[in-house]
Amino acid sequence: MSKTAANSACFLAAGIVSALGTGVAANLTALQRAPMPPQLLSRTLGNTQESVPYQLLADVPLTNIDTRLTRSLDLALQQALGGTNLNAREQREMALFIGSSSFDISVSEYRYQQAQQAHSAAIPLDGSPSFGKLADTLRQRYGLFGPEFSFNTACTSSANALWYASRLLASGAIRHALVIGVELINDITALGFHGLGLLTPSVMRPFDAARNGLVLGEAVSALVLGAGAETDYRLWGGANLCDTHSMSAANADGSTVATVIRQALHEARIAPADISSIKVHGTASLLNDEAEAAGLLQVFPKLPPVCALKPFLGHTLGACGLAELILLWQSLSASTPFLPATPGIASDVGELGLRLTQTAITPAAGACLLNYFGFGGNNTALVIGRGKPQSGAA
Amino acid sequence: MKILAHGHYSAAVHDDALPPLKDLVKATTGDAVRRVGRFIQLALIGAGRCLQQQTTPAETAVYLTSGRGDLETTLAVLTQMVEHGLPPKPLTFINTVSNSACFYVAKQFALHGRSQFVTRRYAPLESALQLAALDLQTDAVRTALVGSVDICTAPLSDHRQRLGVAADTRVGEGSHWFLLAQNHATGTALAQIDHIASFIDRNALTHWLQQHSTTTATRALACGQHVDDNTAHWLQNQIAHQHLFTGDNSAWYDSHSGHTLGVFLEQKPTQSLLHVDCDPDGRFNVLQVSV
Repeated sequence: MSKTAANSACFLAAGIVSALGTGVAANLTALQRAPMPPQLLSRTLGNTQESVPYQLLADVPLTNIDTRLTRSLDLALQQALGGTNLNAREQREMALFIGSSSFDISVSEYRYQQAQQAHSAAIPLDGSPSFGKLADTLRQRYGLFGPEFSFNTACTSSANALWYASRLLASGAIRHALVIGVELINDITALGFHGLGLLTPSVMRPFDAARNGLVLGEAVSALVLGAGAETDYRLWGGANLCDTHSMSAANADGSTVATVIRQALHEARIAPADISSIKVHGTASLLNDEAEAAGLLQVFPKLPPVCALKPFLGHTLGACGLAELILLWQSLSASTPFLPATPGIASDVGELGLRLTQTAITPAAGACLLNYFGFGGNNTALVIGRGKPQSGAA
Repeated sequence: MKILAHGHYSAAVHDDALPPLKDLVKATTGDAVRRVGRFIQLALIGAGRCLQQQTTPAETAVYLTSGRGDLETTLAVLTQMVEHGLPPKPLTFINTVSNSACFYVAKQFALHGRSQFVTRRYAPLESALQLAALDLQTDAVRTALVGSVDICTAPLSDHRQRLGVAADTRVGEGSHWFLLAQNHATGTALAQIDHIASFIDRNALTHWLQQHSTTTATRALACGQHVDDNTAHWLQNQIAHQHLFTGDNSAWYDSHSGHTLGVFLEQKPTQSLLHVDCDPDGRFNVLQVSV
């Protein structure tokens, strides 16, 4: 296969650690089964115990918290980097993009709790807390000397990281990029969402009439981008906009969601009719699903097959951008390509006008749209496809 | 890319009684923005000072950076949970996410373009400027509002420990904002950002400096706060005819390069400024501005 400048931002290799398992193969196998209900974790808050539903990493026990982040990242990074044939110089010059809403707070929090128990005058966050520290640590651990970028835009963090990595590659400013999405359980997140009353103890049911909230999830994923073959999958385009309607929910009329989707299609140089499948954000909250459905219906008079991945993974917050993209890309690239299905969830076109895939279907050729929305009104839409963008209608 | 406007707040903090910001927010924005902490307050003050005499297009993109983000809110949530056994309050929890400040800035100044919070441990502002430059150069955006915000938390002894600086280091707070436009944009510019780049080692920087040498005494060199004396000496030897620009003796905070750039834009002692900072691994970040 020829490698050209136009193919500079292909998806080369990925690693993933999630509630579905460790590695792409394990995750794909689990994606073809029904979503599993979350664990109910007991979190101590003062003298009380709060029960928080969580989709924890399947193969990384919730022990040795101070090293758990590094161990999880190593699993994902070794899969991704091991799947490429980069030489030492290429790896040394590679740029790093990391997206997370919590970075290493799980470790800082744990150390503070330990210090507090041993010594009541302990200082919280005394380990030089910095948003860029995790990227810097990983960069040193893996011998990466290219520029690094740490994104902290709530649930769109790693989607934005991937988008900018891809665009910097296309500009020629960098030759390879390692993109990471990471989110591990921590009390600020768990108890913060618990306090917001947004959690459900059952499997998430996005767009379903019986939807009743989200389940938090853990995920660590990594993707290497660089020059590839003509037919490799890549990011065709994306868009990000700030919706100032509300700090915590998209405008329910769907207007801002529709706008960011249209801009993503514009950057990809394709028309709505060129989208053959959609991966929704789908947080299973009343307002956000309403806004997303309304936005999709404004752009797509006839919706292509729509799938949701959060029933499987939980809402992995800043990590969902990359983790869900990797799973979708790998599902579509499987020997028998399939769009993951969530039987029994949003099985009818209800009041939101949207039905999720009920059986694992093979979508028609074309591009796939992926939606991500986050606190602070941060809305991102990405379009991926195989080979160069091809539009039959744009 | 052109710098159309800049606005900033910078102050050394001398004791644990942090200066109140509420009145400054109201004076700058005209509104009493409620239920926000120092991080968002400083973002609004800096952005407000930058945009106060500008007609800013609604589609202007916002890029915010910080070394530590909203430490005040994160510490409040953490100590409330661990020491007092209380859950995070909903709005406080939401404000732990850095792009909450982007939301407040966008809402206050009626902006609805793209919005990013991005950082780099030893070069926060440079990371945001690199994304803005990419978006401007590729015509993805026409105007970009780039800001860096870093706050202090009390007690300062704990804050210094978190920053990893010596106990006698003068620490401070800063909010530095720059309204940028494409090179071909119409309108008067304060200055132009000629280069914003990262280098993996001294050899790569040396090569770049040789390609971008100047034979006149019109370029000043500013060394970032991570540049030690040996590296500063090496840099001065690499660049002929340069003035050394120190801005003023501002206090230490992560995104200090914003302060240096802001002072340069106000004083304009030379035609251009080359700001160089490095990290412990010997990588460099370079920012060159001309007026």
